[in-house]
Amino acid sequence: MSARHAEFLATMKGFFEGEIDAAGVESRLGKSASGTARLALYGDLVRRQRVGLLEHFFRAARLAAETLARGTWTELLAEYLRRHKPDHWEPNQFAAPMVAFLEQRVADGMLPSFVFELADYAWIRYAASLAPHGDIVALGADVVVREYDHDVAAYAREAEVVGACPRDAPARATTVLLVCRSRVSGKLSAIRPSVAALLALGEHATGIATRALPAGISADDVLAESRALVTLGVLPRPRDVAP
Amino acid sequence: MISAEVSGVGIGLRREVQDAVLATDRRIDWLEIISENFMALTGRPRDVLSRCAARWPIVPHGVAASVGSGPRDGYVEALTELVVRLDAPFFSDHLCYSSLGGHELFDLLPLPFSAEAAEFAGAQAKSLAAAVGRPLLLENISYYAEMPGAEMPEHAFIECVLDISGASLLLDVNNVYVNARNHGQEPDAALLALPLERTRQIHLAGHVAEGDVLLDTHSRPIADEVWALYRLTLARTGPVPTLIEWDQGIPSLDAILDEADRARQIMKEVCG
Repeated sequence: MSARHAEFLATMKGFFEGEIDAAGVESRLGKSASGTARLALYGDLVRRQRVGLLEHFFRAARLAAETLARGTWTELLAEYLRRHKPDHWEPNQFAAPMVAFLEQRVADGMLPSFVFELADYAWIRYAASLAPHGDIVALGADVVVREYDHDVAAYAREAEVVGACPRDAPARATTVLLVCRSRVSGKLSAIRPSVAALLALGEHATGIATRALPAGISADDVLAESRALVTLGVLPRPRDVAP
Repeated sequence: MISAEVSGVGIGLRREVQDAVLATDRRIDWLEIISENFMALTGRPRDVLSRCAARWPIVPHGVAASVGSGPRDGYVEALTELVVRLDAPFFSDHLCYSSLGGHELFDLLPLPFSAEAAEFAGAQAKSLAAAVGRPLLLENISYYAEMPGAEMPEHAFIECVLDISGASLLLDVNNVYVNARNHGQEPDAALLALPLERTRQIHLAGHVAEGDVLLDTHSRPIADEVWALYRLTLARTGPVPTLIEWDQGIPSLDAILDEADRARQIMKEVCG
């Protein structure tokens, strides 16, 4: 690489990282025939791409944050962009640290939990869509079970509607969700599993039958849920466990 | 896996229309994928790709090779795996830089039209094609500002890079139009100045006006002026595989296929 080309790239790096403005670029590299304003446009365009990616990925979390106070999401994004730079060519990987970022905000008392929960729900759906299917379900990978304090699935469904602008935050309701990519249809599913279904899932993953069933739940109940999960495409086959 | 030569008019296999593509019985000649959406990925992207590749030729079109600054670690290997898995007859990316200092910009940034930039980008592109083992097509990007240090016009810069790299041209006709309007040129003249004889694929897309600038957003139907430039292109190049690009505000699959049908009709009218 020639020194001149290296200087061009280094200068533009400084521009995109906010160290210099368009006039600063021109002072180092010479004038743009298109004018300083046109050069400056690129800083805005690059920022728009990063913001747009995150807003598209976390649409429901954004809408929920905006019900708190106007500008909440913008402030969160500005802080996130200051702390994180995209370092992978797969754009969705730029969204990966956002969940932990929001979780910390909740832990610091700066954000209600539903914003984090909606972001987490978006992320596990994305991760489940990518996870390969093995002979045994990999809990936490191709099948994810989460307990949320809010009805994130319903809110996320509403947020998918183009132009949706909900006035209220997600309803507070303890919700257990099972998220997976169906082995039958290939599509993402978010199921509210029964206790028996969760036991069936655990038995499949461990290969060990539940020793002490909760009151009101029989082994037949668990087996029936196991078969239902196969029909839904969550499990590859019915229970096959050691006693 | 289909490994047919790519011809006719294709569309982009964007996530929003994947299910509709697999369900449609309307004519689709080939598909283009954004390489980075399928590189080193498993699960649903891989499943969808396999199902589509069984029915149509697929061409990987990347946005992160960054020939103007050099690719990221691991990128070439992941891209090669994808191209080989698809048995693609060629692959493409852009004549630009898209990452700096280990960070992605998620945009296609223009290089200065200089001999040094051409030398670097051309060498990077040549190396990339050799590593992947398939012919590379480089796309002419839209640029809203000419970078400082320009020594030659855009068409000469493109030709220089193609000479050094041995790559072919992926001619984005909308970008030709957008650039001509943004920089005070006549679109026909700007088109005819390009090395059209090196065109191996064409992109058609929509743009929007923002203030005094046309932005290449891929978010609208193809403008009448761009259709006219497409006719002029085909009159010079003959029939070239053409892709309808629609990446934002994606409408129904039928709306995209209507654009594809129009392109096919024009190709038939011009080329016979």
